[in-house]
Amino acid sequence: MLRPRLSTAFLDPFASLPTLAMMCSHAGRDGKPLPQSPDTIVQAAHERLRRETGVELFAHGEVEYFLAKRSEEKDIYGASERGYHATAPFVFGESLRRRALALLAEIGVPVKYAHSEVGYVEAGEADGLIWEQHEIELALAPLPQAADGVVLAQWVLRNLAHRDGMRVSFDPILRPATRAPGSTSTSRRPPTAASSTSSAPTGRSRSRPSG
Amino acid sequence: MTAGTRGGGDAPTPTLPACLLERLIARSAAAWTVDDLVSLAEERGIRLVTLLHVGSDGWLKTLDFVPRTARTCATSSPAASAPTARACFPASASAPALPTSCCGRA
Repeated sequence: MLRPRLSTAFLDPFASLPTLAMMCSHAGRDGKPLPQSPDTIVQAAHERLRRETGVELFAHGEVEYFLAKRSEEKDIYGASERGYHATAPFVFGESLRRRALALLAEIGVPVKYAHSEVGYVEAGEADGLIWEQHEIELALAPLPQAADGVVLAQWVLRNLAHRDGMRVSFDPILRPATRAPGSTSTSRRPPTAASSTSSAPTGRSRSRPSG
Repeated sequence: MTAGTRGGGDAPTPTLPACLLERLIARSAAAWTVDDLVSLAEERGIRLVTLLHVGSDGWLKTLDFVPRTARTCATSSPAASAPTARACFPASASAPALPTSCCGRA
């Protein structure tokens, strides 16, 4: 069973028809939360921590990602280690990142800020794609809402990139041999709580983002 | 032209709060009710209601409904089925059946 969470409703910015969307939780036939659902796992962890420690866990996603497009003659600025907070035209992904940030706020995902990041990969001979790194940092929210935010941020970025003919990758480590920066999607506790967790999968064997 | 205007002397387009539905419903998201969303659907000409959920692969999944009446927009739209559960959570052989339904009051 899908149980809509009304507070997550939004107008789907990518739908071709006027569409009301909302995030749902999973329940089994017995009406209880479905154990293997990612949503159930997050909700249960959040509740267990509160029950056993009295700590209300807030988190925020730091959504780092790489955008890729085919190298063109006009791409004269890209350079590794110089992309941090860079503006257009030094980076090509600024417009998409700004649209993503505004869209996320509009659909109810609390956002903090966004900027370009240091990662950059020159065009490969095989695919001719140049990759540059950006980051959207979400605002603190209770863990379940923070998890929704990360999923929706990746969904928005994938949609925008697809529409713009670009590729997007959330691979955490891009070029381990050269220690080039990779992307992470981390969830951080507020100062009153203890440690950090990372929701990012590992991708150590990859030399280029997989998209 | 001032930023945030449509130009030519139009009033500035409201941009706060940043969440569009909070502006349209004029209440914080935590206070939204089914009636709020049904009214919104009628006022905004909503053609589809889509239920988003996260599969075991981390991808966002969707199940689309056409709200035929205000009542069907607000209440159950039962459908199949066990295959939904198996498709969403293929690694779990013991996954219980996952019938789909829409819009119980949360």
